[in-house]
Formats: sequence, structure tokens, C-alpha cells
Amino acid sequence: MRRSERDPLSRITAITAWLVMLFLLFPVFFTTVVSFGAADLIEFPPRDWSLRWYLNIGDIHRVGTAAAYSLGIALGAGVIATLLAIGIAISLVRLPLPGKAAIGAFVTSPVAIPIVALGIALIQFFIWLGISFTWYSLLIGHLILVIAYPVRTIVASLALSNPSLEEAASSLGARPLMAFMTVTLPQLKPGLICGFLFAFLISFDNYPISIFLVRGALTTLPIEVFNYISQNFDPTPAAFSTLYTLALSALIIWAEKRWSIISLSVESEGTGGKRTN
Amino acid sequence: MASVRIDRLSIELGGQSILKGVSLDLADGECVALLGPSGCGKTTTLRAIAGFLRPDSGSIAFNGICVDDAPPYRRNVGLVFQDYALFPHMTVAENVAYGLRMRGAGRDEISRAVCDALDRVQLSGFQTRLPARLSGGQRQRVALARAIIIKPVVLLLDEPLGALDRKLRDGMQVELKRLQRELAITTLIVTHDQEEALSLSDRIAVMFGGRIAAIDTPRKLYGTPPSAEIMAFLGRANFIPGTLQRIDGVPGVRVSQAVRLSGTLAYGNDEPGDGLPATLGIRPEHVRIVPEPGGDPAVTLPGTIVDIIYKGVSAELILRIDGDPSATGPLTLCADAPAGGLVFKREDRISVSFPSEHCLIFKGEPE
Repeated sequence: MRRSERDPLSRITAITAWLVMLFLLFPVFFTTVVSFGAADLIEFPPRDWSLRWYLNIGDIHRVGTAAAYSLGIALGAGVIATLLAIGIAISLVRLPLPGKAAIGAFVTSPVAIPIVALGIALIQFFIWLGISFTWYSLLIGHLILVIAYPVRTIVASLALSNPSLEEAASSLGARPLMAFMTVTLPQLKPGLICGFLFAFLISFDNYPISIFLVRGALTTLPIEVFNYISQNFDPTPAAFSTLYTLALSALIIWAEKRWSIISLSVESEGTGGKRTN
Repeated sequence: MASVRIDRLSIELGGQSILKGVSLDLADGECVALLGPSGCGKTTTLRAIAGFLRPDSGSIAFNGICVDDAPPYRRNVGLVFQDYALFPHMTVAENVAYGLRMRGAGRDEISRAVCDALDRVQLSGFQTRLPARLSGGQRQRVALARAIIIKPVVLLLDEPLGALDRKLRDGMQVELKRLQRELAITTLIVTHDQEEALSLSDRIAVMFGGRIAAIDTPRKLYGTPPSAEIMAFLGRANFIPGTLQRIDGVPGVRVSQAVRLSGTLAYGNDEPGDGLPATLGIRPEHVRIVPEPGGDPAVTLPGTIVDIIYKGVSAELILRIDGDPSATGPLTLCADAPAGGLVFKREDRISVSFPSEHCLIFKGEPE
């Protein structure tokens, strides 16, 4: 046994960590178990088991159309946010901008503003623009909501990447755009993917912003699921949530395996260096 | 014709004057070391040559053509960064090929040139490795291959041996020298390591405070440095303060009532008068150790060994000279003795004398 494991403080830390993890996982566990119940109402633990609620997911109003809307909005917001974030992150990290800290705080502020306040502001803004309750206004709303995440992950990637790489490329004859595309961008890949995934997932999952920005036939998946819950008390939403959780986990595990998005820093190890005069 | 000519280069960064009129010519195929303490402006000079910094005044020319307006990617400069700056997502071959790819070279030409360059740095067979899977020495070879493949006007090396451990350094030193000679490539090495500068370069430019203090061959700069500051920076040195006194035209430094040490004036035609403050400089390997009772009291200084630093081939004796011969505080000197059959130990009484052919006399008091 290693020494750190005998140390009482680290043992307490480990136990606390496990308890917190259990606490966080409990709702997922609860939902999953409930989704396999056979009864018409949610019961825990279920007395009989069944897969009927999984077959019932299709009964959620407009589930297919709403899922397509959500997917389109999340993909659009994720891609546009990530592309914009590249420019923002580079200006924040590399350019000698005055008031960098203020700009950084402003760009990442939607994380700090109450979503309800943001929703009210957006709806007034879109009404004034005359594009309220359209696909575009929903996309823009989500874009504003999610852009902070790719900005943060790309800033982190950029801060870890070695600026002399770009200079090396330049000294070897690469024009600035070429140097960026062939040398800098590949360094940012983990940050780009991580940021896109965050943006995509937060948009796909978002309820409060969407509820302000949608009307009538234009609804997203979380809104339809919530509507279903408010009118029924059967485990269909639990079945939906279980599938959703599985899909998300698969996506994140795949991304981590493929790009090590969680261990963002590993790739830059050994190449970062100091410059002395 | 000088392949690189730096003419009165001045650069300010953040309101601070970093380079104050640096002029330096590199002849075709020559290897010059730019040596100085950190903050002296040597890296700034290198970055200006590479085109990353624009001079505030002065100019840089390659083969007689002014490059002041040329961006880095048009300068054809081979740059080896201190941390090598290899592209981590590219294989060794892709790293080395990068410069030719940017020049739009054909596939066959590139693969031939990559093989050749890797051969030159003795890394054949490493083509498909990623930089993360290479040792420090191998990374440096890749960085070198990547820089020489573009046949640069000048090869710039930033602290080339700084990141390597002792053993690798010695090997790399030999190899760098061989490569530089084989390719006859004009090279500028930026370093704060005097040993690196002495061993690698044809000429050394010593830089202090944004200015070039001296340029000469390593042998001349080490043997007859023009100032006490340069003598101290290039290797180890002893300084003994006193006043200038000529006897029969032979210059010397009067150290005390009894002792006068003769030597050579380090400064040229500028003839200082007798009685002015002067400093005698001598390297530890030239100090002669005389067991007590010592020789002629007019040219020797008696003292005590306060420490012995064993260095393998030789041992460095740290001596406290008796009394206060020049009335400027206690005088501590360094002297080398062969380590084999070393007869001295701490607290031993000895005397030291100073062969005049190795004594240099500098103006003023030591700093």
C-alpha cells in the first residue's frame, strides 16, 4: 500500500470524493431504474420491470421534429461559436489589445448573467429587430449562451501552445495564414473539440433560453420533454433521459479517447519552453 | 563580402533601449558567437536578424541586400530555437520537410532533401517518429536538419547546447562544428555560456548592455582580453588592484610598498601616466605556486589556502593573501594546481608569483 493511502487526510479526501460522486450520480441511477418500471406511475423501486416506456418515447409530442430542431440549433450554435471563438481567443492571448481583461470578462459573461435576464433581454432585442420567434433568433440566442465555453477552452489551448512554433514556421517560409493553418491550428485541436462539444451539449440541453425564444411549431426537445412531464407522471421522460445519458456518455468517452479532451495539457508537454535573452 | 551585415542596430522594447547601436559583420561561411550575460540584448539581435523585430534605427543586409522591410518568411534564415520548437503534431520527416513544402518544392525533391538532411545530422531511420518520442539531443538534430534544409543565408542558433546535459553537450559540440564546416554555412550562435562560445566559433562578439564590447577570435579574446570586464566574463580571472608604475619602460602594477608585478598593458595607444589606479589581471592557470618560504618578496605574495576545489584534472586553490597589500580589503586569489600528486591541504602556507607574460594591466580599479 502506498504511503499516501495510509495518510488519514488523504483517506478523508478520498471518501469525500466518492460520496460527492455518489450524490451526483444518484439522480442518474434513480432515473435509470425508474425507466424500467412497469407501473403507470413513477415508483421506486419498481415492483415489476418492463421496457414499455422506451417504446412510448415516440408519444412525446413532436419528439422527432423537436429533436431535429434541437440538433440543428446545437450544431449551428456549436460550429459558429467555435469558429468565432478561435478569433476571440487569439486576440485575447496573442494580440497586444488594450483592456484585454475587460474583453475577456465580457465575452465569457453569459456564464455569469442569470439566464432569465438574458432571455428577457434577447426576446426584446429580437422583437426590436423583427426576427423574434424564428429559427435564426433561436440560433443567435444559443450562440450568445454558448460562446463562452469554446472561448475558454481555446484560450487554454492557446496559452499552452508554444508561440515559437509559429515563429519557427515563419522562419521556414510560411506566410502568417499558412503558419496558422499548418502549425497553430493543430495545436488548438483539443481546445476546439472540447469547446465545440461543450457548446453543442449546452445548446442541445438548454431549456430556459429556448422557452423565451420559441413559439408554436418551433420548439426544442427539452421544451417538449418538459411539457410532457407537466402533463403526465409516467416514466417515459425517464426512459428518454436514460437513452440521452447513454448517448452523451458515449460521445464524451469517444472524444476523450480520440483527442484526450480532458487531459488538454498532455500534448504540449515537453515543447513549452522559456525564452531567455 | 559579408554575408550578414548588421549596421548600427538600435531597438527599443517597451520604452527600454535594448540595443544601442550594434554593428556586426559575418563573413561567408563564418561562425560567430554572440556572447553575453542574460539581458544584454543578444537574443534581441537574433530576433532582429530573423525578422521578428523591426529595428528603430540601423539596418541589416544579407549579401549586400537590405532586408529591413522583408518579413521573416522571406528572409531565408535558418533558426534553431532554444527549445527547438519542433512541430509536435508532425513526424520528424514532416518537420524537416516543412521549409521546402512552403517553397512549393516537388515531392521527390523534398523526400531526397529530407533524407540528405537527416543523414547529415545522423538521424536516418527516424523519419516517422514524433518529436515527443525523441531525446533532447535527437530533437536538436531534427531542429538543425529542419533549419539547414532551406539552405539559409545564415543559420541562427539560440543557446544551442543550453538544454542538453553535460555528456550530450560535448558530443553535440563536435557535431555542430563538423556540420558547420561541412556545409560552410554562415552561422550566428547566441549564448551566455563562454565555453560554448570559445569552442564553437571562429570569432566571438562579447555583448554587454546592448552594445558589442569586443569582437575577436576566441584565442585572442581569452588570452589578451581588452578589458577587465571581458576577462572576467570569458573564463576565470584574478584581479589585483594597485597603481601603474613603469620601470625602464616596462609597465607594472605596484601592489604594495614591497611588491610590484610587471605585465602587458591591455589597452593600445592610450598611454596612461604612472601613479594612476590600475588592475593586474591573471588567469588562475597561470598563477605560479611557490611553497613557503617563497621566492623573491618583490614579486610574490604570501598567503594561506582557504579552500581546495577538486576538478579532476586540476584543483583550484583559493588563497587568502596575507595582510591587505593594496589597502582595498582582503585579497582572495585563485590558482590552479595539477590534481595528480597534490601536496597541498587547507590552512597550508604558500606563496604565489605571477609570470609577467601572462599578466595584463587594465586601467582603473577592479569592479
